[in-house]
Amino acid sequence: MISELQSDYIKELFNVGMGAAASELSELINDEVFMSVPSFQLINWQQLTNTLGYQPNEAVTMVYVSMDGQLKGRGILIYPTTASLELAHRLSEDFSPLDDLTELEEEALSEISGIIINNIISTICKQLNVNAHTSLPICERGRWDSIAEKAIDIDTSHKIMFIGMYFSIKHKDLKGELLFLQDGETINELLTHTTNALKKMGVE
Amino acid sequence: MNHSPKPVKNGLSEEAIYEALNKSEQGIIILSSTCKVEFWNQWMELTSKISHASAINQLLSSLFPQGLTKRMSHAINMALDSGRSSLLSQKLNKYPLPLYSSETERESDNPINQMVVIKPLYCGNSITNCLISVTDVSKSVNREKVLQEIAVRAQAGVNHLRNSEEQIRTIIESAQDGIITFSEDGSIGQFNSAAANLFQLSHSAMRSASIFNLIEDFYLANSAGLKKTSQIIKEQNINSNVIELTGRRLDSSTFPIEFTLSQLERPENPGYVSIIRDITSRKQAEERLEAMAQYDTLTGLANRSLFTERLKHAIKNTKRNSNYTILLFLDLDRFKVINDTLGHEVGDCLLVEVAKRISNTLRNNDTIARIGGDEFTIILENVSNSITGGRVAEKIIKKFDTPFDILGNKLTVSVSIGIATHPGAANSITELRRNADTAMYKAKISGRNKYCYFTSDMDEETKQRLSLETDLRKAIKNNEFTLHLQPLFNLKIGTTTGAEALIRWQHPERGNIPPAQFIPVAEDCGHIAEVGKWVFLNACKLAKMIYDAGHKEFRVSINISPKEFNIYKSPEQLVDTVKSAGIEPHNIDLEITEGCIMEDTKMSIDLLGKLSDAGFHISVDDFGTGYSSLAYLRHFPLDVLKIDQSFIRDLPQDPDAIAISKAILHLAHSLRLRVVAEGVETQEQMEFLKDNKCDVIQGYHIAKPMPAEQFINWLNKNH
Repeated sequence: MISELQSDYIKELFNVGMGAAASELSELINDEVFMSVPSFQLINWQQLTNTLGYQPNEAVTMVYVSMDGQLKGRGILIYPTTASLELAHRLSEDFSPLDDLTELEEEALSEISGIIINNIISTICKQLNVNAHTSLPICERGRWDSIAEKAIDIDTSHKIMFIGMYFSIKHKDLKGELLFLQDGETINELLTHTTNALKKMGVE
Repeated sequence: MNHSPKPVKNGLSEEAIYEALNKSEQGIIILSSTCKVEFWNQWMELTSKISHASAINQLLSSLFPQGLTKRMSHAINMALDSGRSSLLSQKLNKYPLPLYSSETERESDNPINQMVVIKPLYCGNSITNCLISVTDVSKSVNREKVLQEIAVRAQAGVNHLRNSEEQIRTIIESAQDGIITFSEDGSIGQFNSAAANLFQLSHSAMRSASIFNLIEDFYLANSAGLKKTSQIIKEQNINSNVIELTGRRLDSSTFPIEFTLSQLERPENPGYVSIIRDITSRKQAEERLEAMAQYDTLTGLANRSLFTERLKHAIKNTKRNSNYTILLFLDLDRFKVINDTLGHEVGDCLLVEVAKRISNTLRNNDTIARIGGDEFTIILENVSNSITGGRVAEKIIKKFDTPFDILGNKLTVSVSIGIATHPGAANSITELRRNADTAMYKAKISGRNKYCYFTSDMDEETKQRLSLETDLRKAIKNNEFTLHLQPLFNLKIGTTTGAEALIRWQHPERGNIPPAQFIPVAEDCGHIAEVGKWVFLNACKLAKMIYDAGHKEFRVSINISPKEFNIYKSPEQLVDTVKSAGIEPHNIDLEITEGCIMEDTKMSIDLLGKLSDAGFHISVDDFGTGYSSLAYLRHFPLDVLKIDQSFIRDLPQDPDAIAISKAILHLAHSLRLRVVAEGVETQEQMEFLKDNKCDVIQGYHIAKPMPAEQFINWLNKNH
């Protein structure tokens, strides 16, 4: 179980990471980017699928970044396909009547998602004082039932950190889900560190 | 450098790996932990124009005049410091490095579209290097451009299609006619609101309806076992032309429609488009028009054109079944008087009532037509006996015994009927009609309220009449007329005080033609005015001759014909003629028949008043033959009453004749009218009249009519 304090602390970690990501993205696209973390949950695979509520045949876009080293696992961003299209088209800055992502748009979406996930990972590594290297972001698109397990690639009994997040790019509000999948050991370590950090702050 | 290759992994030499990286189709840069270039492959040399030798050991940022983008520097740092891998997409990073695919592109400053990947390289657990790989994504960019263009065009096409579909939909929806598409099994596809309204169905009811239930003709064919549209249209012989069918509503009521069918071009699933127009009001209008063209609008009877059609048909049938076709020609007696005195409204109502009475007398399949003002014709078809015509005519005449009650007026009207039979004297419709007309005329002149069969001698009469008409025209020109004078003997003073001028026609071939024969012809063919003028002028001249012979108070009587009477509407003309002859109006006595006075009583009173004021004497001729009463005559400014010779003929033996003549004399005198007895032929008659205070007598007993000069001699002798 995770206490409310721990939950708040972890949420704060994500907030910091996403803040860094927002500032980097703002600079990149030369426009304002806002990000917020409204929720944080530690849940299992079954709970996750219930929470997300995607239909098996629903089209989704996922970008994931694998991490290795002292921190193992995967950071995943899931967008409903319409939202990913909208984001990509806005980034393209030209009107596109296409109802699918082009190869280059997919890469742009991967880059943005990579920046978000990498910044969060960096924040966590810094806080936990661990090293982890990351892979390139990989984009997968398709029906939820066919790509979910492939992208998530984890023993479904493992705990998943689930962060619902909102972000706004180029004056358009978008909703996405951010998942962090870690093995039990990493999560325990994260929780221990959280406890220590809280202790240090004297708020335990 | 000559050293033996050093094996690295899986038997590959370090040199081979180096060569592979060097010749890669990507740009490969390896940086040291201090960001200095340690590897710069051939692709980089080619696209950057910076040789391997120049790049090695240089800070990457120092190789390019504009340095590195912030994103790239950050990514390199993140790779070296924190082991992060980064992807720099072409969309978000325009030309991270100034690389060109050719010299031309360099000159036109058109760099390679790049996707850059930056990764940490590890040796054991520690990061030793940073790998930068650059991929030329120009092809992807071009592909995307093409794709975008196609998509834009496709979108434009879709929009255009959507717009035209919308337009067509609007056009169809705004069409006044019903438009329905349907399939082979009769089920309805698309339709407009006009169609739903036409069949009084809601849109949802319309969607579930079948065309087989909406078109009566389809419905019947479908009920008879035809289940496919194609079968029905083949059986009903429906093509793409506009045809008239019958629409059908849910309550089984039907209405006429105009139906246009086209086949949809889709062989795999035959479909049809129909345009349906409700033509109920047009049909009604057509029916009205047809009725108007064939029926008399006033009476609703057949008109002349339908009558001709029916007669033609009847004659054709007669030939086939050897029965008779009988044509009755009816003319109302004195209808003109009613129209003139009581107005056209009464006249029209009378015609309607007359039509009803005639119709009630006939069988349903007999045709009655109104072919002119007061002229009616009746066709009796397929009659076995020609006397049927007379029976029907009798029945009709009897029906007229009862007076008509028209807008408060009780009108007694009689009818004259002519009958012609086919087969008979006539061979054609025209002849048959003319014969019936001739017979009608005969009925009329023989006293009205009668019927008369056509006989071939009538035909002879007609021919004679026609030749008389022609000859009359010549007679005036050739001076064939003469005037004879018959003395009017005054019983009171025992002398001749006047004479009646009588016209005589000496025909060059036929000799003497009596006035009774040619005056009616002159009246009918319109020569009467000319004849009348001639008589009046010459009678005035005779009066002048007599005057000049010393008979200053002598008076010449001139007969004025009823038709002529209408023409001399202004009395001034008569006065002028008289004066120009050198005499005065009081030397002239105008004889007018009572029938003429009674035809238009109001006008008669006016005109006779004016003539009387001018000094003319006015006599009523043939008194007793018409229907006027003495009491009525007192309204007219009359001077003389001439008793018709028919009353004188039987004097003094016949008690009736005695009673009548006595009564007339008595009444005339009480109205201060002088009396002239016509046709006095015997001494006894003269004695009787004298005894009964008759004023003047005329007749063979005194003298026959004689030519002017002979008369003057006679007068001089007998005065």
